[in-house]
Amino acid sequence: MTDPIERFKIVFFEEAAEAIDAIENNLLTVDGSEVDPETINDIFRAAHSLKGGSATFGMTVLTDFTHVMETLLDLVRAGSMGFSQAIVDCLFSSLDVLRNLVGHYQYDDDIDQERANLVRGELEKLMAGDDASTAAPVADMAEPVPETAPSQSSGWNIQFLPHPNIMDNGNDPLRYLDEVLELGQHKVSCDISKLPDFEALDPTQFYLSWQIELQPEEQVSEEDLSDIFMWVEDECDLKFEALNLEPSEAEPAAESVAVEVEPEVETATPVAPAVPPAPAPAAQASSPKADSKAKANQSRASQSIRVDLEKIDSLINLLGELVITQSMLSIFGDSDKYPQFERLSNGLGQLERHTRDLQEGVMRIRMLPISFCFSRFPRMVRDLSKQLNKELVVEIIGEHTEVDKTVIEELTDPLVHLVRNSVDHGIEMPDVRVANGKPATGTITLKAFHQVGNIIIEIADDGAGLNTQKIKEKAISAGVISEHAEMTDQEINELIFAPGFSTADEVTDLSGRGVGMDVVKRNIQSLGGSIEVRSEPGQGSVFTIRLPLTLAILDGQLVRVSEETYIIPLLSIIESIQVDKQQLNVISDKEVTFKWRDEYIPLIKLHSLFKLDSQERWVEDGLVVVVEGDGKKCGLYVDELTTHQQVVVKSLEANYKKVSGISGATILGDGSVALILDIATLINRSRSL
Amino acid sequence: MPETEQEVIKPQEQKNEWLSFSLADSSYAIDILRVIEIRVWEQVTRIPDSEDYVLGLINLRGSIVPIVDLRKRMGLPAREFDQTTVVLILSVETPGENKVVGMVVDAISDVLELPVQGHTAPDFDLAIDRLFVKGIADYKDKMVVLLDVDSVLAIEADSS
Repeated sequence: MTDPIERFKIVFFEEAAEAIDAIENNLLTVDGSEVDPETINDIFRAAHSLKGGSATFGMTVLTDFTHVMETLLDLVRAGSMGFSQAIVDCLFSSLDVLRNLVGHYQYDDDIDQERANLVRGELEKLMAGDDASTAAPVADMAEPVPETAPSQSSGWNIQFLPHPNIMDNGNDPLRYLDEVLELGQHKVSCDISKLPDFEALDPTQFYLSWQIELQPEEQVSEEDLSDIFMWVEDECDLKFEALNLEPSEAEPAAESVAVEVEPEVETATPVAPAVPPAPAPAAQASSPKADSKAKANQSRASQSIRVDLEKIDSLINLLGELVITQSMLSIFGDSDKYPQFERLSNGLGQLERHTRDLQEGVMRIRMLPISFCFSRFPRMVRDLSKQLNKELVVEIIGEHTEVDKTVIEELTDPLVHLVRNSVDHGIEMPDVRVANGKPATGTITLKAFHQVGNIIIEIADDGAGLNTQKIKEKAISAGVISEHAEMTDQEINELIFAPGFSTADEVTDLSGRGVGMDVVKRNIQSLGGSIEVRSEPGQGSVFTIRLPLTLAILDGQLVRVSEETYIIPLLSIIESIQVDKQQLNVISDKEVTFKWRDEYIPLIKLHSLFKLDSQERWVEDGLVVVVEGDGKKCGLYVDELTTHQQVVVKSLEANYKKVSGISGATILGDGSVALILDIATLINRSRSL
Repeated sequence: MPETEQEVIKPQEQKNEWLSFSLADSSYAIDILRVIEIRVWEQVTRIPDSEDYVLGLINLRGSIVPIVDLRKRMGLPAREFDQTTVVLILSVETPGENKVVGMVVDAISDVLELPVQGHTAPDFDLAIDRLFVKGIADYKDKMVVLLDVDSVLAIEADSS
């Protein structure tokens, strides 16, 4: 990390990923041949910055590829080429190549050369196909440009003659030109005499040169000018001639000519050798709009910063300390006990409120909108539906719902699996849908919303729904249930989460990758959440995932066992009861099970399990907390229930190691450490004993 | 980095600082650069299924830090904790990351300046695991056992 180049590279990779995602999102909004010029501009800008960045770091393969993309996009942008579905499809494939190439430079992934060449060929074919028809007008159009350059003006006369190879390093001569033109009023003429016929045109070579008459607003020295061209001074010929200053006379004339000329220069750049007359004004009209959009984007970008997660975590740690200090002080805030400290107790009350607000605020830093996770699905579904010849749309609701970053990361894989499943098994083929009186296009709905401290995510499809009969047969043949099991449809549907279960008739490329719904369920449970399915035959199915908003804070019930305090996650508690001696079943002098709501559930005594006490405890002295984890119930015997509070979860592994039955630790108000129980592991452990 | 100083001083004169402490009538020392802080003994939170020498966890300004009883770790007889009992909070280098682990000793004694080189590795049985010992040194005519913090405080992952 000490090497500044490495640091910049990391930033570039992050930006590259964003640029690719931006292109993808824009492409997804494109429908058929109708396209908003701003969308194209956005895509172009993203591709362009990717090219520039990769060139800076010498990632030539990436630069070359993006250059081809950019050229195509520029043709489209300039209006010299119609936008078509073929282009959209080709650009989608290009994105995959780009990801591969970025991966190559970032992680040393192998380059998929064959694919890159194929896509590049396609891009070039698209360009060639369209260019042939429009190449001819170019010359006519561009011809008048040099004539518009009058010879007499004031300020500087600049000749900018780029060498043919100027673009090899990713330089865009237009940029330097723009920079010069910003200095003041100007007249520009473009020399296109070297531009060859289209057949002979090499898109990587540069054929244009400019003559600029600049009348700067402020004093500009020759040095200032050569500074502008510093990066390309070896790749071009430059000539600066001072002109006599006669501002009053030259000003108005220069103004009018500049307005006329500037758009021509823009469209006549080397990346757009083809400029038919008609679309030129369109491009001109769209450019101010694009500028304002760029500004809007810029201001949006400046409203967020990238922060290392570690920094936020240390902030959270510090805050935990603050909360502890605050609770230590709070005993002095008791105004009955210390009536003389009234102002102190007022102050402490305020401190408490501010601490709580601060805690909420810091926690929110970790929160990201779920769109980070949802945004990939439109593309994925699009690809899948093409592959399966199904017609699908994705509807996303509540993508701004915020959830902890860690949860988003862990959630992505299960969601991908669920959506794949819905596309593959849920949605029927178009003809089947029509025959069943449904629209041919299936809908997959992703929905996220908050509900009392949880985030709920629903993945719904309007497909065939679960085939309850098939699930039952499969479950019987797989030995998951017995043949005579009496089950409701709902219970049978829940069987899809059982390990080793797959109802797909055939193993397709999509599902049958060895990851079943049981893994999805396990992943979600490990996040402290739950998943359920509802299905209506012929109407579709809905998977509902319920997750805590953050993994960093947990709602817990504090319990005392011997001298230790443990925390039971509130989500896993069903109820706390006092067990009667009659309800207990004693086997060989040990209380092992008890009857609870017509069920026999095992009893776990934390005293003996954690070897806290040498002597056996008896249940009538304490309480039993009935908990559920991994679908199984058990009773935890504890001495006392104390308070219920939100605790900050800390890992044991940071300085120690994973402990079976313990999911983490936290620091209580008095500064002591308390362990958080991992109910599912505890139950499984007690069953395997 | 004090590189310039090292160039001036001859290798045999280079000295490192060691923190010495007593444990069961013997003197031991650890590299002082590993010591983060020295604390008095405080109540710990016991960890289920831990090795007997891991006493439990404490809160060190928001991080959870395990505490090791050095007597138990080295197989020495236990002793009641008293006023001189201290906990040395040390940084332990493990493959991949550094951990912070506390170690309970009977009492701290002194900071010793010992030459970098010339600690003889003992070729006789010291009654403690040889892996723990970096070498022995002579300080004012008394033997000081130099401990290897990383192996004494290594926390092995459960094999199960």
